[in-house]
Amino acid sequence: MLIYTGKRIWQTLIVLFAVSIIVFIMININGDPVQTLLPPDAEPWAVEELRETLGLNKPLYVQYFNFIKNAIKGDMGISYYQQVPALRLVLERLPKTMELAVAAILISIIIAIPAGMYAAIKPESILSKLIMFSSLAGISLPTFLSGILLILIFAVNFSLLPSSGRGEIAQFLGIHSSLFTLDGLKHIIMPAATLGLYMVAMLIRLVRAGMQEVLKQDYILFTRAKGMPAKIVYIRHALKNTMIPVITVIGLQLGRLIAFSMITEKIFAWPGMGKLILDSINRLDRPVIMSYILIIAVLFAAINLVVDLLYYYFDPRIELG
Amino acid sequence: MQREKILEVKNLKTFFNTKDGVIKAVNGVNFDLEKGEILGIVGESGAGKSVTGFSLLRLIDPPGEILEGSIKFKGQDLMKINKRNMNKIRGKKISMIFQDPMASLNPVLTIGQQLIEVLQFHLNYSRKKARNRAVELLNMVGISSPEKRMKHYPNQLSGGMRQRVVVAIALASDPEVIIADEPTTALDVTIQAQIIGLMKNLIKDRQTSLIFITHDLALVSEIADRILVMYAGDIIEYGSKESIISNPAHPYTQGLINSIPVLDKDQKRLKQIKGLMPSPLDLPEGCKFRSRCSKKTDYCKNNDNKLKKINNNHYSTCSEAYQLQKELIAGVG
Repeated sequence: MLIYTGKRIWQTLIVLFAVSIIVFIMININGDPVQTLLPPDAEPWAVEELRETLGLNKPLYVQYFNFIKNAIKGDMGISYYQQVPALRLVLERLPKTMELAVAAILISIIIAIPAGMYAAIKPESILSKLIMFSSLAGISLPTFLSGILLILIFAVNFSLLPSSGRGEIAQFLGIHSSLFTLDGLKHIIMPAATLGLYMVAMLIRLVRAGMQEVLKQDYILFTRAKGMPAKIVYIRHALKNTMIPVITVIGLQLGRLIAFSMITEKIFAWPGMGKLILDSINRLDRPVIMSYILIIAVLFAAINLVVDLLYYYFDPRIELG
Repeated sequence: MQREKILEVKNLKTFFNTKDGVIKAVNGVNFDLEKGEILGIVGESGAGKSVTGFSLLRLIDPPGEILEGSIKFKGQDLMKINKRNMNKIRGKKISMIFQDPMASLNPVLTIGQQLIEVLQFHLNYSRKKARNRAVELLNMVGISSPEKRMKHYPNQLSGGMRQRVVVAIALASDPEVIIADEPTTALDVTIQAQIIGLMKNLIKDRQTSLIFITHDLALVSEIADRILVMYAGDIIEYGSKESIISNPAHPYTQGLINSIPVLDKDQKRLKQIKGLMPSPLDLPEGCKFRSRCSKKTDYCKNNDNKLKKINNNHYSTCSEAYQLQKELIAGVG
């Protein structure tokens, strides 16, 4: 297990290296940050001077080499705009986005697994048909629409939930999060539901399909022939066999939710990474963009490692290697 | 000697409603099972043997349905009890062994877990007691170092080993009836003999009744006390092993016996029964074997498919055999 994890970390480093080259080149193609930093009527000498302070006057490969040299030391550069270390800027926002993504995942697991199981066990019932219909609607509805609809219903019409911000924050086990206060929960439920909606819908379909397949297997019939009650048959025997694809998708989606939460964050004014990266891309704030993307890449790699280790837990036939 | 009838099946009908029509998989069968007896159910694929077995435990899922009939287990009609009580019968009083040991154990749970859950649910054993008993059971079915095997997953065991585990699970709560649905078909011959021997010994000690479903008449003639031959959803011949093997009444049974290869005869080709079983969607009136039968007469068209007595230990639906028997009796009388 340790050797396996070590191997995976090594692979992650290679991926990070490749990602950094691609992103570095792409940002440079996109334009000159100096143009956006200075007013349009700036003197040519001022432009030149800024270029030199930012190190942009050197050839691209030298710039990249300098970047890597500093990055290995953990220095991702200073934000062109905010004049603070870019990495710190991103890391400050990371927990807020993480908390939103985790809440979204939790909501979708809590809803999707029982709903998907039910739809698989009783495919003919009206409730199952309703579940499948709503999941189709959920997959088809774009985030910006569902978010605005939620605000319209719960914030505007019924005034039940706040429509923006993060709410009160409490500390628990050394983690600061709005998940631990009632006010915080009220604030997070709508954005989390919006972010998780697509995932709920997709997971329902995935759990149902997997479960239907498993229920046809001989060992399920054998378990029933053993006289085991429905609870043991469905949860202990069938669900565990259904979990492999579900875990894969949850893992991939967690990464996706963290990386692409910008729309939801924008709608609910959630102070996460999404808003930061949108602004930074507009300003071509290279250190911030690089920090953001590398952190997302590390997160993806870490999540996938956890997913692979979970496979091993759910299916002993899978060997790590 | 009259032994206690543990299972009485009357007019059992299990049909499957498919898009193309109704498949009459089991079409009104009647039989009983005595305590400690081994009953062999023989027939070719699709004859309704397995469906009969599953129907006894009411394990028929839609589109299948047990239409009518009664299954009396020690006088209690299993068709009339609720789901909860049915679960107390399944695996506790009547347990089942499946054809493919590779598929009948859950790949993601250990052998121990799958064995212990039966003991905990049916016998209310504590975790520790169930564990100890599970080790005993594995030992009893001839699995070496059972302690270690408890922690193993099915994929770490060979096919024969797995079927031993399945037998252990089936015996776990000391059932009164075991239904074995082709338990050795997926195994090679030497393992087959071991498993059969094992089952035979274990049930003899406990006076357990066994329903042994197979397509292998030779195998069934080794272990069964009575044999029941099925064809296209009907029981066509039913009686003691000796009577059926030495004196088969139905041309189909005769065909089955003739198709068994014999070692000391120089056979160029095996004798086979020509033709196929009629489509279950479109069963002919009268005797269903008629189209493949070499002895058919005009009477076969009107055969009511009821079992007719040949002697006290032997019944058959074949009118020809019945007729012959009557003439014989008349001749003697």
